[in-house]
Amino acid sequence: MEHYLEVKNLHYYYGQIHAVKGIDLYLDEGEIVTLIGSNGAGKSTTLNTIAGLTRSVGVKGEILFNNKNIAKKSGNKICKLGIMAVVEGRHIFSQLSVEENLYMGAYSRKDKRNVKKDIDEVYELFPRLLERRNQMGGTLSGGEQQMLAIARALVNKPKIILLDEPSLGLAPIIVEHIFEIIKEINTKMGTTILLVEQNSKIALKVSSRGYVIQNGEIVISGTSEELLNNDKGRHAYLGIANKEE
Amino acid sequence: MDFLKLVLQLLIPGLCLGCVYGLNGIGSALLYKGSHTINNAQGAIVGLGALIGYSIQQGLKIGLIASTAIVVVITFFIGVFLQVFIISRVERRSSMYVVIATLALSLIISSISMLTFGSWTFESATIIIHGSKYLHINFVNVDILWSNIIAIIISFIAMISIHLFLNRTSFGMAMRSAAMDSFAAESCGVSVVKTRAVTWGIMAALGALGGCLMGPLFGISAGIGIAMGNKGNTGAVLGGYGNMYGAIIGGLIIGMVETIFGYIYSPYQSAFTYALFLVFLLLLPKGIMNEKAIEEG
Ligand SMILES: Nc1ncnc2c1ncn2[C@@H]1O[C@H](COP(=O)(O)OP(=O)(O)OP(=O)(O)O)[C@@H](O)[C@H]1O
Ligand SMILES: [Mg+2]
Repeated sequence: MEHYLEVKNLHYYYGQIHAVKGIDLYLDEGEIVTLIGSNGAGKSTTLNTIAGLTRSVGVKGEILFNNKNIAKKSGNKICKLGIMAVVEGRHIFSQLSVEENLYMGAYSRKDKRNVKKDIDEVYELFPRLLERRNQMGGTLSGGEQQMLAIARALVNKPKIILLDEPSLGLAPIIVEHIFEIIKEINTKMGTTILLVEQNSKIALKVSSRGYVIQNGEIVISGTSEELLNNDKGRHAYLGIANKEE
Repeated sequence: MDFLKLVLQLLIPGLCLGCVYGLNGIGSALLYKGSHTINNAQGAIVGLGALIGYSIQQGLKIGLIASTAIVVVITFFIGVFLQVFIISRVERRSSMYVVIATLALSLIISSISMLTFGSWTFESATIIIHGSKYLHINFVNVDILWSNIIAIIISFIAMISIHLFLNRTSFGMAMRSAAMDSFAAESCGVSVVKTRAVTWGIMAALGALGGCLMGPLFGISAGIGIAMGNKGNTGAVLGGYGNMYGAIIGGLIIGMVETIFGYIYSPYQSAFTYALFLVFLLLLPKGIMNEKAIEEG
């Protein structure tokens, strides 16, 4: 069967360091899929490699999008294909205003006429950003920056969003809000989402399937329900989730 | 009246020098902001640009402004070329490599310029309006070089254009974004490879523009750019490193101060200027525009 996005035997090397060791995963159109794993498991490396944001010399294996191999393409090309990454750690443009940040999200769009309307739509999802539209990105709080990073990706109208730890460092109530919005993006806009999380419980609640990654390898995969109830799975990743509960 | 005359006689050349330093400083500020490094080859590129300008003036028999326009285009591509084929490759290791690589480039470019053009100082085409090189201001009875006035005007036009380019155009915004966070910019579809190359193109072109405009004042030689590159950098640091507007203000201050010191006691002109710069740095380590404070929110 053909999948929307399919990662086949993907490796990534940071020089000598073999960080991702032959991963297989796929996304079907309209799905939310979670990638879970503890610190240093290789989640961000996997996500960034799909997004073309790691150095191409370190990449081995295939990443098929609509059956075309996009591995080793540069990040800006992958963005133009409709795969948009929200990378770990709130990479927003600190000296651009909130609104300018959002406009940068639309940088690669051809239909510039509709961008204004789409930004207004995104403001509806994140009213907080509307209040702060003229504030410099760097002066936002951590939660607001995370919202801005997600909002900026939405303005691009991507086919697939890759989200790296959207809950990182946020208060539980904001985490819940963010996950509600993730769900909404998926149902309303039909965006396919790959979610990287350590906060596995809440992530598995919104996703349909998940993978557990350990030391650069997928150790378990299945439906979210299976993963939530899987003893072996709990062992592999819930150690972290327990701490956060 | 004599005082006014003196002020004008110092102000115009000071402003003119300052503009040229400012033009060079913009490039260093953009480069520092985006790549946290320094281009030691700037002065050599400026010298080469000025020499190319001279050859064009001689070869095509055209004036200062037309030849300068051509030089701006040529040096833009020289800058892009250097970034794409040399700088981008050493930059991956660390920004320190760029510092050394550009030092090497500086020596290589200077040597090539010297070998090609010799170590002479050539006479540049100048600006002549109404049959005179000077603008005579009657009521203070002072003569000001037209080429100075034109240099100031063109420099300001260039600065405003760069400002508009960076703030009002899509690619300019992309360049600023990439300078703030190259990772995020790439993820938004910005080709950081391109923005970095264009940064070098702009840096080289603005510097060479300054070099050509200074031709009528100093004459054209391979070494004409060295002081401009250095003082452009100094002005950029003075202004708050990484802030383009600070670099312009810093360059203007250095140009003015240098001109005034030159009037007071010219043998120590540069020493005084740099001494003042050091005092300034000690008092205001973050420069005039305090870029870091903005960055850190
Ligand atoms: N730039 C780098 N250079 C060398 N090694 C790296 C680099 N980035 C990551 N690594 C290594 O690759 C491995 C995977 O890192 P990665 O960032 O993908 O983990 P992660 O699963 O996202 O972890 P976290 O939950 O902490 O974000 C780690 O062992 C890390 O030390
Ligand atoms: Mg990570």
